[in-house]
Amino acid sequence: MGLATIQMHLGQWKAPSAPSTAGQRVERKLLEAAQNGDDAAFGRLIERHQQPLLRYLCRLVRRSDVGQDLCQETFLRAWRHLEKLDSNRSLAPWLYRVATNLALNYLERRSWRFLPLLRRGRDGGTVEMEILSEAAGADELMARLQSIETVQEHLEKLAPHHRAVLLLYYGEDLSCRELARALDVTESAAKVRLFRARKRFKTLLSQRGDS
Amino acid sequence: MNCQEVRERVLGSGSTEAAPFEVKQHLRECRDCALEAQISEALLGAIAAMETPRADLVGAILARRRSRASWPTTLLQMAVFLVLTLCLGQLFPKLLVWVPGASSVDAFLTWPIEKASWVLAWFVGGFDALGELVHGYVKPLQGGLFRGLAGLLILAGLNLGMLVHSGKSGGAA
Repeated sequence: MGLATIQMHLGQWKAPSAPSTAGQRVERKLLEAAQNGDDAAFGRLIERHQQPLLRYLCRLVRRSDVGQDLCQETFLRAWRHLEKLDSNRSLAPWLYRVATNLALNYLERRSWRFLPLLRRGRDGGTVEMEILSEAAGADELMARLQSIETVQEHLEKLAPHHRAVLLLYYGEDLSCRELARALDVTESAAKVRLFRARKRFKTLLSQRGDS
Repeated sequence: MNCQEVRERVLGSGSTEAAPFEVKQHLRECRDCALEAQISEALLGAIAAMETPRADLVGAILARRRSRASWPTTLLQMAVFLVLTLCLGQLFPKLLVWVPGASSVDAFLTWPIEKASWVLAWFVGGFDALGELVHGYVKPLQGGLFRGLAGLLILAGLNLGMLVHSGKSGGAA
């Protein structure tokens, strides 16, 4: 199956969210109020988004204290850029974009500090050590997929930028359009990233001798 | 029903439970599609099962936002830092007489690297304070002041070490 076909599939996996739901109308009003200096409205915006964002960040950086710090930093950046935020668009993808950048920067710094032996990818992220081994068969792969622990373990082995894409798509239930906004790329580029992250996950999972 | 249609209908949702009969039939027959569907399901399940803490960050965020840096606080911070630097600069050479092996106070005072490092240390603290102003809020531990002071102490230690070393090796610069 070619990349173009996969991209087409990914595009139809999730329909883009409806442009104007009741929740989005409330959020728009809160954002406009916050932009006019209403502290309580900004507080309510934080309340609405803090749990999903914290959950995403903790899953990505795998440390709750760092996740909380990055979550705070994300909202402080939102506050700093409040005037520039478009109240007609959902705030969540923008928050996820800032949170992802902060988390990837944190993981990048941490990898320089504590994991100097890891090879570095062309895009600056760490890449996992390749294990030269024979790939597992489909049956074995399916058996590994049955175990939540095994899947989680292999998710953690993924490079952070791949893990971020999978967490946003499967964990936060973003559509491809929202994923594209969260990653600050075009929709087709987001689909390619999702495809590559899945492919990488499948490759890691299929390696014999490391599970 | 071909692979393309099946993947369009199943993979995105990650669940095959609600899929129509022909889709389920195809998944039973096509191992590739079944594997792709299972990967989606496994990812959904594994991510949902990850432990995630809950926390109320509203108060902390609003507090950090309210304590944002302003010109008066930044200038005050820089002034305090300058005074502390000057005091330490005056005090430090006087302490040297108690250090065995240090060559001389005069040598310390005329040492250009020492002066340069004090200036550098002040700039670290001062620019950090300015950085906070640009950043829009005070970083934890009142950033600039603490980091600047820590930098000063480290530089003082380094200067002292070099001075002791130069004293032992027959004279300072």
